[in-house]
Amino acid sequence: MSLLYALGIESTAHTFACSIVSDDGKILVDERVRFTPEKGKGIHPREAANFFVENASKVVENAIKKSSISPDEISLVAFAQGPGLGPCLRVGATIARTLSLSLNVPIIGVHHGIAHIEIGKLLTGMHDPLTVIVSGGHTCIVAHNAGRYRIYGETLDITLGNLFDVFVRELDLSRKIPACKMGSIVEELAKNGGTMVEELPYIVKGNDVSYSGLLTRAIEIAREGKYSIEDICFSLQEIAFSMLCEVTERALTQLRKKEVLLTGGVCANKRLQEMMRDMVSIHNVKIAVVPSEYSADNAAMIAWTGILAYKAGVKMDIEDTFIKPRWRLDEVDTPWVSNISGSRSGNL
Amino acid sequence: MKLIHLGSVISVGAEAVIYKGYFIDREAVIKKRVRKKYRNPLLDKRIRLLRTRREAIILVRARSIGVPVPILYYLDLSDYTIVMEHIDGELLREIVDEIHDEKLSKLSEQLGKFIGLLHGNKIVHGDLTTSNVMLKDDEGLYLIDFGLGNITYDIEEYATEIHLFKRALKASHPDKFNTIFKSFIRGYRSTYPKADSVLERASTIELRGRYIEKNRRRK
Repeated sequence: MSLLYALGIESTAHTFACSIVSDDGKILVDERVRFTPEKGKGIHPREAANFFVENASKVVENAIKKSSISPDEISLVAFAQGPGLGPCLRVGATIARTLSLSLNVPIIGVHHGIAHIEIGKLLTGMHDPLTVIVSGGHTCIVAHNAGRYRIYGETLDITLGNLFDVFVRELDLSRKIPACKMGSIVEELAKNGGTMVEELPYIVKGNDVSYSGLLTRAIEIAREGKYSIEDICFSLQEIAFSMLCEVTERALTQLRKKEVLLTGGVCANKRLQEMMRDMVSIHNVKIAVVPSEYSADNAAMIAWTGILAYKAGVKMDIEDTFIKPRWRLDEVDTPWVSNISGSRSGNL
Repeated sequence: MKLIHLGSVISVGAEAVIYKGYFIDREAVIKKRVRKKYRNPLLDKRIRLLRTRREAIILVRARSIGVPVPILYYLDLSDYTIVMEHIDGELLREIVDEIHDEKLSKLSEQLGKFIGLLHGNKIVHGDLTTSNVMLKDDEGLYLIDFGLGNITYDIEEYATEIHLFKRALKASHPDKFNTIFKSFIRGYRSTYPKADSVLERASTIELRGRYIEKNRRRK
């Protein structure tokens, strides 16, 4: 039987990517460009979108070239329909529609968060994991139950990626270690800290966490100057990750899952990985971290999820491809996931 | 004489190890908050102490206002241990799919009444899910596991409880959500006069979360 190839487009935030994946799970190519904001600034949606417009055709062209298949072998176009920044999503969606119409193949809009889970399952061989998605856009604990991915715990306000990004920006910490990637600055500084800052709040509510109060307090304390910035980074990490480990463990023991999957940009943090490993060690549970190349935003995950959806009979018309900047993960029916666990073990 | 006989482990939760044993000569549940390897030792002690103390206080208070919870037998803060009555019943989680809607609705209303009573007396359960509600055959519902409970005047905390309960129901019992939640709210309103302002706040908490479509319409 001949293979089915899907072309995927990712454009939810800072990364514009184009990938081609076959239905036996091979990633032929994954071309990316990343919008880097001015030092000390966040992503401005319009600026990122303009950057995407300038680079998109080159990325798509390169992807097709490097994949060594011809465009008419592509049988499906998948794109990240949400959630994300509106202007950025719109660029990806427009390109996807154009490709779908000109190649005359079906189009499928994919949920970015679900795509993180599906590529993670593909690359780690997990079947029914409790997935922890930690990134700038998501901080949630997800498992499959009764036809959808369900959210068993999440942040009540800002995400873990947000917490670190805003902390670094507010205190202009990139100045301290200019060579360091924005996302790793707290982790790097924390390595030279070790004293616990007691004034920081630890906020767990049920299976949820809240990081906004922790952020405000950490900034205040840093400005007071009583503690070194290294100690504050150390404590910030310890507390934020402990909160996440605790709610993950809660969901894990309640759902009795046998696998834990870590994904999203923040899961590259080594201390977080170590703590999660320590957490599962008493539970006889497998844990896997999605390789950083594919835990960060990419288009292979979009193409792969598109294939899964397509093969399960999901169909979309062009009219259904409006972007969904605030699409929640638990609003998506997932006919491609079999109910391995049955509905009962999914109960909280 | 030995006061506490640990007996056997009945569950290893995220928070504590639970034993079923004896307190003097009575059947009892022993809840020990154990050290978490992943957690910084200082933080670890702080959390275990705070939660053990709070849970004990809440168990006593809840009982005194007529909410069925296990009787507190013994507290050992130095070992982060609580000893309490053993409730011989079934978890609501396990039976939701088996009982008729009519009965489920009645039980949910009863649960709402209890939560209304708690909130009216400044107590939040902190982890309200169907895993923390037990049904004892002839005596009705019991609330268990106040490990994340709090005593507070802050309406935000009551509202968070309602919001999280709603979310947990949607994740765990999507098919029964309407039956349970509607009746729950009916019960909640009947015992708690300020229910409406709490429910209103609960919807603003929902809007604060990530990726909520209603956000856009509000702007």
